[in-house]
Amino acid sequence: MKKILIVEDEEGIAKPLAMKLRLSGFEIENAYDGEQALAALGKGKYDLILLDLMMPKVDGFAVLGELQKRHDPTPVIVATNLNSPEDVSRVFELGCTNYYVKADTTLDQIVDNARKTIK
Amino acid sequence: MKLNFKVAILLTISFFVISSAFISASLMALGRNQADDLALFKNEFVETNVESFQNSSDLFFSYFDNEISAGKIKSIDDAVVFADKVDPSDNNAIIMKLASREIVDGNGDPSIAALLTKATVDSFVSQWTLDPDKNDFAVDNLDKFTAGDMTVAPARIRVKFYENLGLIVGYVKVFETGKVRVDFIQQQNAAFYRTYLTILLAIFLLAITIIPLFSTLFMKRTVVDPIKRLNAVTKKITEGDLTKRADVASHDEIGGLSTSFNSMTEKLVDSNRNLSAKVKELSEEHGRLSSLVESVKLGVVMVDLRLTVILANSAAKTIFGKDLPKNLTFKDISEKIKGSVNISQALSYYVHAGKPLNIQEVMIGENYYRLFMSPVRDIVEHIFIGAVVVMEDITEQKKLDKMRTEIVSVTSHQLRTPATIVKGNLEMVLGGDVGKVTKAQRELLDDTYLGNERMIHLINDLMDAAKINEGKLVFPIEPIRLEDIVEEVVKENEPFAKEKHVELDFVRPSAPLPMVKINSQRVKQVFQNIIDNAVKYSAVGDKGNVEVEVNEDKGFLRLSVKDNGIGIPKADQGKIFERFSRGSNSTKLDPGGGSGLGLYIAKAVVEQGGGKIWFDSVEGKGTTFYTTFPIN
Repeated sequence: MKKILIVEDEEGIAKPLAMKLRLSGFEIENAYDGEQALAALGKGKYDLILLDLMMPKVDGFAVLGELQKRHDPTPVIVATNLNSPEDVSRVFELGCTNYYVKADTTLDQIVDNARKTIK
Repeated sequence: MKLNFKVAILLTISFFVISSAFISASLMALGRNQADDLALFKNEFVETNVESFQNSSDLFFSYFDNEISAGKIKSIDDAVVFADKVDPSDNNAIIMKLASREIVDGNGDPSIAALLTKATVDSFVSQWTLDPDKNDFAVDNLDKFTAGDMTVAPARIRVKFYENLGLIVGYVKVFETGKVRVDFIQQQNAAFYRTYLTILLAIFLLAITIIPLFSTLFMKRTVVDPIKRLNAVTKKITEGDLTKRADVASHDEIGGLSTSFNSMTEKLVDSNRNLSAKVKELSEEHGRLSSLVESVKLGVVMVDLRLTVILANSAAKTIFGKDLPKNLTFKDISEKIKGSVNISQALSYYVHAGKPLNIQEVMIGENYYRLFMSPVRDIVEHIFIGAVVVMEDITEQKKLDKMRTEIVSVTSHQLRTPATIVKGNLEMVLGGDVGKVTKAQRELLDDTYLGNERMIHLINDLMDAAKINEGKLVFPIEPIRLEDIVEEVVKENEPFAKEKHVELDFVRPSAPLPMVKINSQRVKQVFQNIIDNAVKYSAVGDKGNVEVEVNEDKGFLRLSVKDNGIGIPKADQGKIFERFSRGSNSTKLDPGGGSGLGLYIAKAVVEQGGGKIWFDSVEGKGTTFYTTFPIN
């Protein structure tokens, strides 16, 4: 079973997303800020990371930077409500695989996207 | 008396005096000539004796008598001619000639004959005027002498002869030897002339001394002094004492001048008074204008055609720093101005063209300003002489604007999170993933979901509008086939059109159109907006109809979306692309309403791609929206 790490500080967003992905056949772990995410990534192995950008302590950009430093090849889909062109180009520079705006994207679209990325 | 008359008198007097002097000199010369004539006599009167003197006289007078008897001498002139004829050098003849003239003149007796018959030596002698005082002989001797006794003859006998003008005095000297000598002397004559000439000379000298003196005094009194006084008054008046007046002492030209001067001064006082009033009025006006210009919070700078600053109010000085030097040109100032255009070049162009210029935003120092430039015409000649540049500090405005934009941006962003939570959870429930949903529940939850979607849409629009306002709406572009995007949007809108009973037609061009470089996401957003509007506002009556077309037109691809809907009221047409603007007739059809930002964003997106957006609309008949995209 493919394993996904959801890095999202908003529980209200993380919960239905995790539920939907589990129902869709993925194994899910949650991290609620960048620190937890990096800790989890240090311990286990994941097939995909869904990463929020605006988070307390360590934000999404820092997580991406750290992953780049560690040469971690795990694909990352950035899920955010920031969508300025600068932010988008920055996350791609930091090695993210895909990107979506949370408010504009349905859960079904996210599941589709996750499946395509892991393949 | 007129001045030239006075001068005439002066000249006449001078003329007379000088003429008299001249005549006197002439006369003197003449007198001297006569004296010289007499001197000739003196030379010729050589000594002779009384006898021969008497004899020759006798002889002479006998001839003379004969001539007179013969009637040949009828006048004294005849007598003189005769005498000359007989012997011009004969002393006696000459003496007689003179004597006879004396007799004639003395007696005034015209009878020459009577006189001359008596003309003997005795009578001749007796006719001499013997001057007892001046002659040497005694009175009793005089009788003897006149009786012919020559022994008592005095040494000298003074004889008076009159000749022409002068009194000629001669002395006949009878010597004891019996000789007689006649001396003509001119002493009296000379004395006469001397006195006469001395007086004349004195008069002349006096005249040449007095005339200039008199003239000078006269000129001083009548011309110089009045002019001096007038000059003094003029000086006083020049120094500003307008109470002074010139004396009018005479009725000549100077007097006239003084009168004219005084009336001129009166006029001066009058016009001064008027001028003062005008100056006061003007300075009040100037004061008002200055305080107006000064009190304005806007920076006001006036420049001439060379952009030299000729006026700057204190606000302007504050803007450019207090040390605004003189003869500063706007070119110097504009170095401090940071803006998208070269201010001084633009200003120079517009000043010379006489056109107003409006620059929305420039930065001077730390602050932002809006610049308005109005050309200034000369009031009289109506030519452009410079410009007034007004600078409005918009820093606060900009700060507020920025703050507002930031608030909108941040708030919108924050609003996205709860909207996302609602969206995710509703999707789970509506997808049946967490249990069965009844029909009624689904109906309600569907509406909730749509409401949340609309909220997300509004938030997105607000964020875009904020970005446009900040100038941050930028997006990547790539070559795209426009008809693909149009087809996609039309397809997405078909269910909505069906629901609204509107026929939505799009016929894809048979041949592929050129590609255009755009951001597909953004352009899709624009088309979505236009087509959605067209469908929404055509949903009246039974035959709602929307036609979508894409054509190639003069280097552009043009999308047109034509509906037969409610149209846009004329009053609203001008502001339809403004923020939060909605047609006043649209609210009934769209009670929930859009953000009023759709067309504002559409315009920004299309224009950023180098295209245009516009519409034709008749209220009640329909609207056609056009957008163009440049073909690369």
